[in-house]
Amino acid sequence: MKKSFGEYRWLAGKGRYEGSLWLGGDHLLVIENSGFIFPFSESYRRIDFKNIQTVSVATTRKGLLTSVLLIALLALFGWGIIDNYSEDRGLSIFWGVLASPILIALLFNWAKGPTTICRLQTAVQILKLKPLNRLKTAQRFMADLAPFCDEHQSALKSSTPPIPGSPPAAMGETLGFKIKELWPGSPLVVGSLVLVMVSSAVSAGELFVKGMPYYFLDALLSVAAVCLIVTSAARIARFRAPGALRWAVWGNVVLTVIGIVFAYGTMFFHIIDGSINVASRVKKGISTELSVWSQMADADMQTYGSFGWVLVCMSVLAFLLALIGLPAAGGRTRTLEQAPPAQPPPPPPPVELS
Amino acid sequence: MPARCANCQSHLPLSLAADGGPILCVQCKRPNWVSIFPALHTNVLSAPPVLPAEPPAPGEAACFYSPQRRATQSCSHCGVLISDIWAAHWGQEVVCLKCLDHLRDKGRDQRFEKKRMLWDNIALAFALVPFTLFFWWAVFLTAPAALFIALRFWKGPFSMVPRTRFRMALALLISFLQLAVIITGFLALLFDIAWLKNL
Repeated sequence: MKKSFGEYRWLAGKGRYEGSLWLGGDHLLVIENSGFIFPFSESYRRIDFKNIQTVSVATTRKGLLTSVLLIALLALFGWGIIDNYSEDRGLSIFWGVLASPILIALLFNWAKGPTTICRLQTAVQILKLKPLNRLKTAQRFMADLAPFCDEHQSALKSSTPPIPGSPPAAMGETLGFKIKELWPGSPLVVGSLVLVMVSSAVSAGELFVKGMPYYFLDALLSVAAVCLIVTSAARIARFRAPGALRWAVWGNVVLTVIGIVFAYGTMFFHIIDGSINVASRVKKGISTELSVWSQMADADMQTYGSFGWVLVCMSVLAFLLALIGLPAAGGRTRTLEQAPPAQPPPPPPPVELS
Repeated sequence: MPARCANCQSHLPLSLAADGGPILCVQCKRPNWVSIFPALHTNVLSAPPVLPAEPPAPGEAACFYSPQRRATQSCSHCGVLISDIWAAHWGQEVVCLKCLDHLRDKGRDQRFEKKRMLWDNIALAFALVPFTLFFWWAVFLTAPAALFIALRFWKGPFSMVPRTRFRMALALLISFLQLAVIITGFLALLFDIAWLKNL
Protein backbone atom coordinates (compact mmCIF):
# COMPACT_ATOMS: atom_id res chain seq x y z
CA MET A 1 0.00 0.00 0.00
CA LYS A 2 1.28 3.43 -0.93
CA LYS A 3 2.21 5.84 1.82
CA SER A 4 1.35 8.96 -0.15
CA PHE A 5 -0.48 10.06 -3.27
CA GLY A 6 -1.30 13.49 -4.62
CA GLU A 7 -1.48 15.85 -1.68
CA TYR A 8 -2.25 13.05 0.79
CA ARG A 9 -0.01 11.37 3.32
CA TRP A 10 -0.96 8.06 4.93
CA LEU A 11 -1.84 8.16 8.63
CA ALA A 12 -3.52 4.88 9.60
CA GLY A 13 -5.40 1.86 8.29
CA LYS A 14 -4.38 -0.79 5.82
CA GLY A 15 -7.35 -0.19 3.53
CA ARG A 16 -8.92 -3.59 4.00
CA TYR A 17 -12.16 -3.71 5.97
CA GLU A 18 -11.63 -0.77 8.25
CA GLY A 19 -10.59 1.74 5.57
CA SER A 20 -7.79 4.25 5.98
CA LEU A 21 -6.99 7.80 7.05
CA TRP A 22 -5.02 10.29 4.98
CA LEU A 23 -3.65 13.71 5.81
CA GLY A 24 -4.44 16.30 3.13
CA GLY A 25 -3.38 19.92 2.74
CA ASP A 26 -6.25 21.37 4.75
CA HIS A 27 -8.36 18.34 5.58
CA LEU A 28 -8.38 14.79 6.81
CA LEU A 29 -9.50 12.24 4.24
CA VAL A 30 -11.42 9.33 5.77
CA ILE A 31 -11.79 6.36 3.43
CA GLU A 32 -14.49 3.94 4.55
CA ASN A 33 -14.78 0.52 2.95
CA SER A 34 -17.85 -1.64 2.67
CA GLY A 35 -18.27 -5.13 1.35
CA PHE A 36 -18.13 -8.75 2.36
CA ILE A 37 -14.71 -10.33 2.96
CA PHE A 38 -13.39 -8.07 0.18
CA PRO A 39 -14.17 -4.35 0.23
CA PHE A 40 -16.42 -3.67 -2.76
CA SER A 41 -16.70 0.09 -2.51
CA GLU A 42 -15.02 3.06 -0.91
CA SER A 43 -16.70 6.16 0.52
CA TYR A 44 -14.76 9.34 1.04
CA ARG A 45 -15.24 11.90 3.78
CA ARG A 46 -13.21 15.06 3.97
CA ILE A 47 -13.03 16.74 7.36
CA ASP A 48 -11.50 20.20 7.37
CA PHE A 49 -8.90 20.66 10.08
CA LYS A 50 -10.60 23.91 11.11
CA ASN A 51 -13.81 22.03 11.96
CA ILE A 52 -12.38 19.27 14.12
CA GLN A 53 -13.39 19.80 17.74
CA THR A 54 -12.12 16.70 19.51
CA VAL A 55 -10.64 13.30 18.84
CA SER A 56 -11.37 10.84 21.62
CA VAL A 57 -10.13 7.32 22.11
CA ALA A 58 -11.46 4.77 24.61
CA THR A 59 -10.25 1.26 25.26
CA THR A 60 -12.57 -1.67 24.53
CA ARG A 61 -12.73 -5.31 25.59
CA LYS A 62 -12.56 -6.70 22.05
CA GLY A 63 -8.89 -7.59 22.41
CA LEU A 64 -9.52 -9.35 25.70
CA LEU A 65 -12.43 -11.30 24.23
CA THR A 66 -10.34 -12.27 21.22
CA SER A 67 -7.57 -13.48 23.53
CA VAL A 68 -10.05 -15.54 25.57
CA LEU A 69 -11.48 -17.14 22.42
CA LEU A 70 -8.03 -17.89 21.01
CA ILE A 71 -6.86 -19.36 24.32
CA ALA A 72 -9.99 -21.54 24.44
CA LEU A 73 -9.28 -22.79 20.92
CA LEU A 74 -5.63 -23.37 21.82
CA ALA A 75 -6.71 -25.36 24.86
CA LEU A 76 -9.01 -27.46 22.66
CA PHE A 77 -6.25 -28.16 20.13
CA GLY A 78 -3.75 -28.68 22.94
CA TRP A 79 -6.06 -31.32 24.34
CA GLY A 80 -6.09 -32.95 20.90
CA ILE A 81 -2.29 -32.92 20.80
CA ILE A 82 -1.87 -34.43 24.29
CA ASP A 83 -4.72 -36.90 23.93
CA ASN A 84 -3.36 -38.40 20.71
CA TYR A 85 0.36 -38.05 21.40
CA SER A 86 0.93 -41.62 22.60
CA GLU A 87 -1.62 -43.39 20.36
CA ASP A 88 -1.57 -41.54 17.05
CA ARG A 89 1.45 -39.29 16.51
CA GLY A 90 0.19 -38.20 13.07
CA LEU A 91 -3.10 -36.92 14.47
CA SER A 92 -1.22 -35.16 17.22
CA ILE A 93 0.92 -33.36 14.61
CA PHE A 94 -2.24 -32.48 12.68
CA TRP A 95 -3.68 -30.79 15.80
CA GLY A 96 -0.35 -29.04 16.29
CA VAL A 97 -0.45 -27.67 12.74
CA LEU A 98 -3.97 -26.38 13.36
CA ALA A 99 -2.94 -24.81 16.66
CA SER A 100 0.13 -22.97 15.36
CA PRO A 101 -1.68 -20.18 13.41
CA ILE A 102 -3.91 -19.64 16.43
CA LEU A 103 -0.86 -19.27 18.64
CA ILE A 104 0.62 -16.78 16.18
CA ALA A 105 -2.68 -14.85 16.11
CA LEU A 106 -2.72 -14.76 19.92
CA LEU A 107 0.84 -13.44 20.13
CA PHE A 108 0.06 -10.91 17.40
CA ASN A 109 -3.03 -9.77 19.32
CA TRP A 110 -0.96 -9.26 22.47
CA ALA A 111 1.82 -7.47 20.63
CA LYS A 112 -0.57 -4.97 19.05
CA GLY A 113 -1.75 -3.80 22.46
CA PRO A 114 -5.19 -2.87 23.80
CA THR A 115 -8.08 -2.44 21.38
CA THR A 116 -9.78 0.92 21.16
CA ILE A 117 -12.66 2.81 19.66
CA CYS A 118 -11.98 6.27 18.31
CA ARG A 119 -14.38 9.07 17.42
CA LEU A 120 -13.79 12.39 15.77
CA GLN A 121 -16.18 15.17 16.67
CA THR A 122 -17.15 18.24 14.66
CA ALA A 123 -20.02 20.64 15.19
CA VAL A 124 -22.37 18.55 13.08
CA GLN A 125 -21.19 14.95 13.37
CA ILE A 126 -19.45 12.35 15.47
CA LEU A 127 -17.51 10.08 13.17
CA LYS A 128 -16.15 6.70 14.17
CA LEU A 129 -12.61 6.23 12.87
CA LYS A 130 -12.50 2.49 12.27
CA PRO A 131 -8.79 2.20 11.41
CA LEU A 132 -7.85 3.40 14.88
CA ASN A 133 -8.64 0.14 16.63
CA ARG A 134 -5.45 -0.10 18.70
CA LEU A 135 -4.25 2.31 21.35
CA LYS A 136 -0.75 2.73 19.88
CA THR A 137 -2.12 3.58 16.42
CA ALA A 138 -4.71 5.95 17.84
CA GLN A 139 -2.20 7.84 19.96
CA ARG A 140 0.20 8.15 17.03
CA PHE A 141 -2.66 9.45 14.88
CA MET A 142 -3.63 12.03 17.51
CA ALA A 143 -0.04 13.22 17.78
CA ASP A 144 0.18 13.55 13.97
CA LEU A 145 -3.15 15.35 13.60
CA ALA A 146 -2.87 17.82 16.49
CA PRO A 147 -0.33 20.25 14.92
CA PHE A 148 -2.44 20.61 11.75
CA CYS A 149 -5.65 21.29 13.67
CA ASP A 150 -3.90 23.77 15.94
CA GLU A 151 -2.43 25.56 12.95
CA HIS A 152 -5.77 25.85 11.12
CA GLN A 153 -7.60 26.90 14.29
CA SER A 154 -5.04 29.41 15.50
CA ALA A 155 -7.44 32.27 14.67
CA LEU A 156 -10.15 30.69 16.84
CA LYS A 157 -7.72 30.21 19.69
CA SER A 158 -6.97 33.92 19.89
CA SER A 159 -10.41 35.34 19.13
CA THR A 160 -13.01 33.14 20.79
CA PRO A 161 -12.85 32.60 24.50
CA PRO A 162 -14.39 29.43 25.86
CA ILE A 163 -18.11 29.70 26.41
CA PRO A 164 -18.89 29.10 30.04
CA GLY A 165 -21.32 26.29 30.72
CA SER A 166 -21.81 23.39 28.42
CA PRO A 167 -24.68 23.33 25.96
CA PRO A 168 -27.71 21.23 26.78
CA ALA A 169 -27.52 17.49 26.34
CA ALA A 170 -30.22 17.63 23.70
CA MET A 171 -27.70 19.09 21.26
CA GLY A 172 -26.67 15.67 19.97
CA GLU A 173 -30.22 14.60 19.50
CA THR A 174 -31.19 17.73 17.63
CA LEU A 175 -28.33 17.21 15.22
CA GLY A 176 -29.26 13.59 14.68
CA PHE A 177 -26.31 11.93 16.40
CA LYS A 178 -26.71 8.32 17.24
CA ILE A 179 -26.60 8.57 20.99
CA LYS A 180 -27.93 5.32 22.31
CA GLU A 181 -30.50 5.34 25.04
CA LEU A 182 -30.22 3.27 28.19
CA TRP A 183 -31.62 -0.25 27.96
CA PRO A 184 -35.36 -0.02 28.75
CA GLY A 185 -35.89 -3.77 29.08
CA SER A 186 -37.74 -6.06 26.73
CA PRO A 187 -40.03 -9.06 27.29
CA LEU A 188 -38.82 -10.42 23.94
CA VAL A 189 -35.21 -10.57 25.17
CA VAL A 190 -36.29 -12.09 28.49
CA GLY A 191 -38.31 -14.71 26.61
CA SER A 192 -35.49 -15.49 24.21
CA LEU A 193 -32.99 -15.94 27.06
CA VAL A 194 -35.40 -18.26 28.87
CA LEU A 195 -35.91 -20.18 25.65
CA VAL A 196 -32.14 -20.40 25.17
CA MET A 197 -31.81 -21.87 28.66
CA VAL A 198 -34.50 -24.46 27.96
CA SER A 199 -33.13 -25.21 24.50
CA SER A 200 -29.55 -25.61 25.72
CA ALA A 201 -30.69 -27.94 28.52
CA VAL A 202 -32.62 -30.05 25.99
CA SER A 203 -29.65 -30.00 23.57
CA ALA A 204 -27.29 -31.19 26.28
CA GLY A 205 -29.64 -34.09 26.99
CA GLU A 206 -29.99 -35.02 23.33
CA LEU A 207 -26.79 -37.05 23.42
CA PHE A 208 -28.12 -39.11 26.32
CA VAL A 209 -31.68 -39.64 25.09
CA LYS A 210 -32.31 -41.60 21.92
CA GLY A 211 -35.32 -41.47 19.67
CA MET A 212 -36.95 -39.27 17.09
CA PRO A 213 -39.47 -37.37 19.29
CA TYR A 214 -36.76 -35.94 21.56
CA TYR A 215 -34.60 -35.10 18.55
CA PHE A 216 -37.54 -33.31 16.91
CA LEU A 217 -38.22 -31.36 20.12
CA ASP A 218 -34.55 -30.36 20.33
CA ALA A 219 -34.51 -29.21 16.70
CA LEU A 220 -37.73 -27.22 17.15
CA LEU A 221 -36.50 -25.47 20.30
CA SER A 222 -33.10 -24.79 18.75
CA VAL A 223 -34.59 -23.16 15.65
CA ALA A 224 -36.91 -21.02 17.78
CA ALA A 225 -34.02 -20.04 20.09
CA VAL A 226 -31.78 -19.11 17.13
CA CYS A 227 -34.48 -16.87 15.61
CA LEU A 228 -35.24 -15.17 18.92
CA ILE A 229 -31.64 -14.67 19.99
CA VAL A 230 -30.75 -13.05 16.65
CA THR A 231 -33.79 -10.77 17.00
CA SER A 232 -32.70 -9.96 20.56
CA ALA A 233 -29.19 -9.12 19.37
CA ALA A 234 -30.68 -6.70 16.85
CA ARG A 235 -32.80 -5.17 19.61
CA ILE A 236 -30.05 -4.66 22.18
CA ALA A 237 -27.77 -3.19 19.52
CA ARG A 238 -30.09 -0.17 19.44
CA PHE A 239 -29.60 0.60 23.13
CA ARG A 240 -26.86 1.03 25.67
CA ALA A 241 -27.41 -2.41 27.16
CA PRO A 242 -25.69 -3.58 30.36
CA GLY A 243 -22.49 -5.59 29.90
CA ALA A 244 -23.97 -8.82 31.29
CA LEU A 245 -26.85 -8.68 28.84
CA ARG A 246 -24.57 -7.96 25.89
CA TRP A 247 -22.33 -10.87 26.87
CA ALA A 248 -25.36 -13.12 27.25
CA VAL A 249 -26.94 -12.27 23.91
CA TRP A 250 -23.85 -11.89 21.74
CA GLY A 251 -22.21 -14.89 23.40
CA ASN A 252 -25.24 -16.95 22.51
CA VAL A 253 -25.21 -15.60 18.95
CA VAL A 254 -21.59 -16.74 18.60
CA LEU A 255 -22.44 -20.12 20.11
CA THR A 256 -25.39 -20.36 17.72
CA VAL A 257 -23.15 -19.76 14.71
CA ILE A 258 -20.68 -22.38 15.97
CA GLY A 259 -23.65 -24.69 16.63
CA ILE A 260 -24.94 -24.27 13.07
CA VAL A 261 -21.48 -25.07 11.68
CA PHE A 262 -21.30 -28.14 13.93
CA ALA A 263 -24.81 -29.20 12.92
CA TYR A 264 -23.84 -29.05 9.27
CA GLY A 265 -20.64 -30.92 10.10
CA THR A 266 -22.47 -33.71 11.94
CA MET A 267 -25.02 -33.96 9.13
CA PHE A 268 -22.24 -34.41 6.59
CA PHE A 269 -20.56 -36.88 8.94
CA HIS A 270 -23.74 -38.94 9.15
CA ILE A 271 -24.39 -38.75 5.41
CA ILE A 272 -20.86 -39.96 4.62
CA ASP A 273 -20.88 -42.56 7.39
CA GLY A 274 -24.35 -43.79 6.39
CA SER A 275 -23.45 -43.92 2.71
CA ILE A 276 -20.38 -46.05 3.44
CA ASN A 277 -22.52 -48.42 5.55
CA VAL A 278 -25.18 -48.66 2.86
CA ALA A 279 -22.55 -49.28 0.18
CA SER A 280 -20.94 -52.08 2.17
CA ARG A 281 -24.36 -53.68 2.89
CA VAL A 282 -25.35 -53.47 -0.77
CA LYS A 283 -22.07 -55.16 -1.67
CA LYS A 284 -22.96 -57.97 0.68
CA GLY A 285 -26.42 -58.21 -0.90
CA ILE A 286 -28.32 -56.95 2.14
CA SER A 287 -31.19 -54.67 1.26
CA THR A 288 -30.99 -51.45 3.22
CA GLU A 289 -31.75 -47.73 3.03
CA LEU A 290 -29.97 -44.62 4.18
CA SER A 291 -31.74 -42.79 6.99
CA VAL A 292 -29.66 -39.87 8.13
CA TRP A 293 -32.29 -38.42 10.45
CA SER A 294 -32.78 -41.57 12.49
CA GLN A 295 -29.00 -41.96 12.68
CA MET A 296 -28.66 -38.42 14.00
CA ALA A 297 -31.50 -38.94 16.44
CA ASP A 298 -29.92 -42.10 17.80
CA ALA A 299 -26.41 -40.65 18.02
CA ASP A 300 -25.00 -40.70 21.54
CA MET A 301 -21.76 -40.03 23.39
CA GLN A 302 -20.29 -43.21 21.94
CA THR A 303 -20.93 -41.98 18.40
CA TYR A 304 -19.21 -38.64 18.87
CA GLY A 305 -16.59 -39.66 21.44
CA SER A 306 -14.81 -36.73 23.07
CA PHE A 307 -16.45 -34.35 20.61
CA GLY A 308 -19.72 -35.08 22.37
CA TRP A 309 -18.35 -33.44 25.51
CA VAL A 310 -17.52 -30.32 23.48
CA LEU A 311 -21.20 -30.14 22.46
CA VAL A 312 -22.29 -30.63 26.07
CA CYS A 313 -19.86 -27.90 27.22
CA MET A 314 -21.27 -25.54 24.58
CA SER A 315 -24.79 -26.17 25.81
CA VAL A 316 -23.74 -25.56 29.42
CA LEU A 317 -21.96 -22.34 28.38
CA ALA A 318 -25.07 -21.15 26.51
CA PHE A 319 -27.20 -21.89 29.57
CA LEU A 320 -24.85 -20.01 31.92
CA LEU A 321 -24.57 -17.01 29.60
CA ALA A 322 -28.34 -16.77 29.34
CA LEU A 323 -28.60 -17.06 33.13
CA ILE A 324 -26.11 -14.22 33.63
CA GLY A 325 -27.97 -11.93 31.25
CA LEU A 326 -31.48 -12.69 32.44
CA PRO A 327 -31.64 -10.25 35.42
CA ALA A 328 -30.56 -7.35 33.21
CA ALA A 329 -32.85 -8.24 30.30
CA GLY A 330 -35.94 -6.88 31.98
CA GLY A 331 -34.36 -3.46 32.39
CA ARG A 332 -33.94 -1.40 35.45
CA THR A 333 -37.10 -0.07 36.94
CA ARG A 334 -36.03 3.29 38.17
CA THR A 335 -38.27 4.62 40.85
CA LEU A 336 -37.45 8.24 41.10
CA GLU A 337 -38.58 9.55 44.40
CA GLN A 338 -40.36 12.78 43.87
CA ALA A 339 -38.96 15.63 45.87
CA PRO A 340 -41.47 17.23 48.22
CA PRO A 341 -42.80 20.53 46.96
CA ALA A 342 -40.68 23.45 48.03
CA GLN A 343 -41.95 25.22 51.12
CA PRO A 344 -42.33 28.95 51.02
CA PRO A 345 -39.62 30.73 52.97
CA PRO A 346 -40.56 31.49 56.58
CA PRO A 347 -41.93 34.95 57.05
CA PRO A 348 -39.41 37.42 58.49
CA PRO A 349 -39.75 38.10 62.17
CA PRO A 350 -41.73 41.21 62.94
CA VAL A 351 -39.58 44.23 63.34
CA GLU A 352 -40.16 45.88 66.58
CA LEU A 353 -40.21 49.60 66.34
CA SER A 354 -39.21 51.27 69.43
CA MET B 1 -20.74 21.33 22.42
CA PRO B 2 -19.12 19.09 25.02
CA ALA B 3 -16.58 16.39 24.33
CA ARG B 4 -18.05 12.92 24.38
CA CYS B 5 -16.85 9.50 25.46
CA ALA B 6 -15.67 7.48 22.46
CA ASN B 7 -17.34 4.38 23.83
CA CYS B 8 -20.78 5.42 25.12
CA GLN B 9 -20.91 9.00 23.78
CA SER B 10 -21.94 10.51 27.09
CA HIS B 11 -20.48 13.86 28.15
CA LEU B 12 -16.92 13.82 29.43
CA PRO B 13 -15.94 15.95 32.41
CA LEU B 14 -13.02 17.77 30.79
CA SER B 15 -12.08 19.34 34.11
CA LEU B 16 -10.62 15.97 35.05
CA ALA B 17 -8.20 16.12 32.12
CA ALA B 18 -6.07 18.78 33.69
CA ASP B 19 -3.19 16.46 34.42
CA GLY B 20 -3.03 15.36 30.76
CA GLY B 21 -3.89 11.75 31.53
CA PRO B 22 -6.91 9.77 30.41
CA ILE B 23 -10.37 10.92 31.49
CA LEU B 24 -12.55 8.29 33.10
CA CYS B 25 -16.07 8.32 31.66
CA VAL B 26 -18.60 8.61 34.46
CA GLN B 27 -21.12 6.54 32.52
CA CYS B 28 -19.19 3.54 31.18
CA LYS B 29 -16.06 3.86 33.37
CA ARG B 30 -13.72 3.55 30.37
CA PRO B 31 -10.57 5.69 30.16
CA ASN B 32 -10.65 8.21 27.32
CA TRP B 33 -7.70 9.95 25.73
CA VAL B 34 -9.00 13.19 24.25
CA SER B 35 -7.43 15.79 21.94
CA ILE B 36 -9.34 19.03 22.33
CA PHE B 37 -9.09 21.77 19.73
CA PRO B 38 -10.24 25.42 19.90
CA ALA B 39 -13.21 24.71 17.60
CA LEU B 40 -14.88 22.97 20.53
CA HIS B 41 -15.29 26.29 22.32
CA THR B 42 -16.87 28.19 19.46
CA ASN B 43 -20.56 28.85 19.78
CA VAL B 44 -21.92 26.13 17.55
CA LEU B 45 -25.32 26.15 19.20
CA SER B 46 -26.35 29.41 17.68
CA ALA B 47 -28.24 29.15 14.41
CA PRO B 48 -26.41 30.26 11.27
CA PRO B 49 -26.78 33.99 10.71
CA VAL B 50 -29.66 34.95 8.52
CA LEU B 51 -28.20 36.55 5.45
CA PRO B 52 -29.96 39.80 4.67
CA ALA B 53 -31.66 40.03 1.32
CA GLU B 54 -29.44 42.38 -0.57
CA PRO B 55 -31.02 43.32 -3.87
CA PRO B 56 -28.43 44.31 -6.42
CA ALA B 57 -28.04 48.02 -6.95
CA PRO B 58 -28.40 49.32 -10.51
CA GLY B 59 -25.35 48.22 -12.43
CA GLU B 60 -24.46 45.47 -9.95
CA ALA B 61 -24.53 41.77 -10.86
CA ALA B 62 -27.39 39.63 -9.59
CA CYS B 63 -27.11 36.07 -8.33
CA PHE B 64 -27.75 33.55 -11.09
CA TYR B 65 -29.98 31.39 -8.88
CA SER B 66 -31.60 34.07 -6.70
CA PRO B 67 -31.88 37.19 -8.82
CA GLN B 68 -33.16 39.21 -5.88
CA ARG B 69 -29.74 38.86 -4.24
CA ARG B 70 -26.51 40.59 -5.07
CA ALA B 71 -23.80 38.36 -6.56
CA THR B 72 -20.71 38.35 -4.42
CA GLN B 73 -18.66 35.49 -5.84
CA SER B 74 -18.34 33.33 -8.89
CA CYS B 75 -18.36 29.55 -9.02
CA SER B 76 -14.87 28.28 -9.74
CA HIS B 77 -16.28 25.43 -11.83
CA CYS B 78 -19.14 26.75 -13.95
CA GLY B 79 -18.29 30.42 -13.58
CA VAL B 80 -21.77 31.74 -12.80
CA LEU B 81 -22.12 34.66 -10.43
CA ILE B 82 -23.63 33.62 -7.13
CA SER B 83 -24.68 35.14 -3.84
CA ASP B 84 -23.43 33.96 -0.47
CA ILE B 85 -26.32 31.58 0.13
CA TRP B 86 -25.55 29.66 -3.06
CA ALA B 87 -21.82 29.44 -2.40
CA ALA B 88 -20.08 26.47 -0.78
CA HIS B 89 -16.48 26.64 0.33
CA TRP B 90 -14.72 23.43 -0.59
CA GLY B 91 -11.13 23.64 0.55
CA GLN B 92 -9.70 26.69 -1.19
CA GLU B 93 -12.42 26.80 -3.83
CA VAL B 94 -15.85 28.38 -3.97
CA VAL B 95 -18.44 26.39 -5.90
CA CYS B 96 -22.15 26.85 -6.42
CA LEU B 97 -24.37 24.24 -4.76
CA LYS B 98 -25.45 22.74 -8.07
CA CYS B 99 -21.85 22.25 -9.16
CA LEU B 100 -21.02 20.75 -5.79
CA ASP B 101 -23.86 18.26 -6.10
CA HIS B 102 -22.86 17.43 -9.66
CA LEU B 103 -19.18 17.04 -8.81
CA ARG B 104 -19.91 14.81 -5.83
CA ASP B 105 -22.36 12.58 -7.70
CA LYS B 106 -20.61 12.21 -11.02
CA GLY B 107 -17.19 12.15 -9.41
CA ARG B 108 -15.45 13.89 -12.20
CA ASP B 109 -12.98 15.53 -9.89
CA GLN B 110 -11.09 13.45 -7.34
CA ARG B 111 -11.25 16.25 -4.79
CA PHE B 112 -15.06 16.09 -4.71
CA GLU B 113 -15.70 12.38 -5.16
CA LYS B 114 -17.73 10.66 -2.47
CA LYS B 115 -17.77 7.00 -3.56
CA ARG B 116 -16.02 4.54 -5.84
CA MET B 117 -16.72 0.92 -6.66
CA LEU B 118 -13.70 -1.37 -6.34
CA TRP B 119 -14.26 -3.38 -9.51
CA ASP B 120 -10.99 -5.27 -9.17
CA ASN B 121 -12.09 -6.66 -5.80
CA ILE B 122 -15.56 -7.46 -7.16
CA ALA B 123 -14.07 -9.33 -10.12
CA LEU B 124 -11.71 -11.24 -7.83
CA ALA B 125 -14.54 -12.13 -5.43
CA PHE B 126 -16.60 -13.49 -8.35
CA ALA B 127 -13.62 -15.51 -9.51
CA LEU B 128 -13.03 -16.98 -6.04
CA VAL B 129 -16.64 -17.76 -5.08
CA PRO B 130 -16.63 -21.23 -6.73
CA PHE B 131 -13.66 -22.26 -4.57
CA THR B 132 -15.82 -22.05 -1.46
CA LEU B 133 -17.35 -25.28 -0.26
CA PHE B 134 -21.02 -24.45 -0.77
CA PHE B 135 -21.00 -22.36 -3.94
CA TRP B 136 -18.90 -24.40 -6.37
CA TRP B 137 -21.98 -24.80 -8.59
CA ALA B 138 -22.09 -21.02 -9.12
CA VAL B 139 -19.06 -21.20 -11.38
CA PHE B 140 -21.33 -21.17 -14.45
CA LEU B 141 -22.48 -17.68 -13.48
CA THR B 142 -19.51 -16.23 -11.65
CA ALA B 143 -16.77 -17.09 -14.15
CA PRO B 144 -18.37 -15.17 -17.06
CA ALA B 145 -19.28 -12.34 -14.66
CA ALA B 146 -15.71 -12.08 -13.37
CA LEU B 147 -14.33 -12.15 -16.92
CA PHE B 148 -16.76 -9.46 -18.06
CA ILE B 149 -16.01 -7.17 -15.10
CA ALA B 150 -12.26 -7.64 -15.46
CA LEU B 151 -12.36 -6.76 -19.16
CA ARG B 152 -14.92 -3.96 -18.85
CA PHE B 153 -13.14 -2.18 -15.99
CA TRP B 154 -9.56 -3.05 -16.88
CA LYS B 155 -8.72 0.63 -17.16
CA GLY B 156 -10.46 1.56 -13.93
CA PRO B 157 -11.54 3.49 -12.04
CA PHE B 158 -9.86 1.79 -9.10
CA SER B 159 -9.46 2.94 -5.54
CA MET B 160 -8.53 6.57 -4.97
CA VAL B 161 -5.35 5.26 -3.36
CA PRO B 162 -3.26 4.19 -6.35
CA ARG B 163 -2.67 0.45 -6.66
CA THR B 164 -1.60 -2.09 -9.26
CA ARG B 165 -3.83 -4.16 -11.54
CA PHE B 166 -2.74 -7.36 -9.80
CA ARG B 167 -6.24 -8.21 -8.51
CA MET B 168 -7.80 -7.57 -11.89
CA ALA B 169 -5.16 -9.71 -13.66
CA LEU B 170 -5.64 -12.50 -11.12
CA ALA B 171 -9.42 -12.39 -11.55
CA LEU B 172 -8.98 -12.47 -15.32
CA LEU B 173 -6.65 -15.45 -15.15
CA ILE B 174 -8.79 -17.47 -12.72
CA SER B 175 -12.07 -16.79 -14.55
CA PHE B 176 -10.43 -17.60 -17.89
CA LEU B 177 -9.19 -20.95 -16.55
CA GLN B 178 -12.61 -21.70 -15.05
CA LEU B 179 -14.33 -20.95 -18.36
CA ALA B 180 -11.77 -23.05 -20.19
CA VAL B 181 -12.50 -26.01 -17.91
CA ILE B 182 -16.28 -25.56 -18.28
CA ILE B 183 -16.11 -25.32 -22.08
CA THR B 184 -13.75 -28.30 -22.32
CA GLY B 185 -16.07 -30.32 -20.09
CA PHE B 186 -19.13 -29.43 -22.16
CA LEU B 187 -17.37 -30.23 -25.41
CA ALA B 188 -16.15 -33.57 -24.07
CA LEU B 189 -19.66 -34.42 -22.91
CA LEU B 190 -21.16 -33.32 -26.21
CA PHE B 191 -18.72 -35.35 -28.30
CA ASP B 192 -19.17 -38.37 -26.08
CA ILE B 193 -22.93 -38.23 -26.56
CA ALA B 194 -22.55 -37.80 -30.32
CA TRP B 195 -20.16 -40.68 -30.44
CA LEU B 196 -22.53 -42.84 -28.39
CA LYS B 197 -25.40 -41.94 -30.71
CA ASN B 198 -23.35 -42.97 -33.73
CA LEU B 199 -22.86 -46.35 -32.16
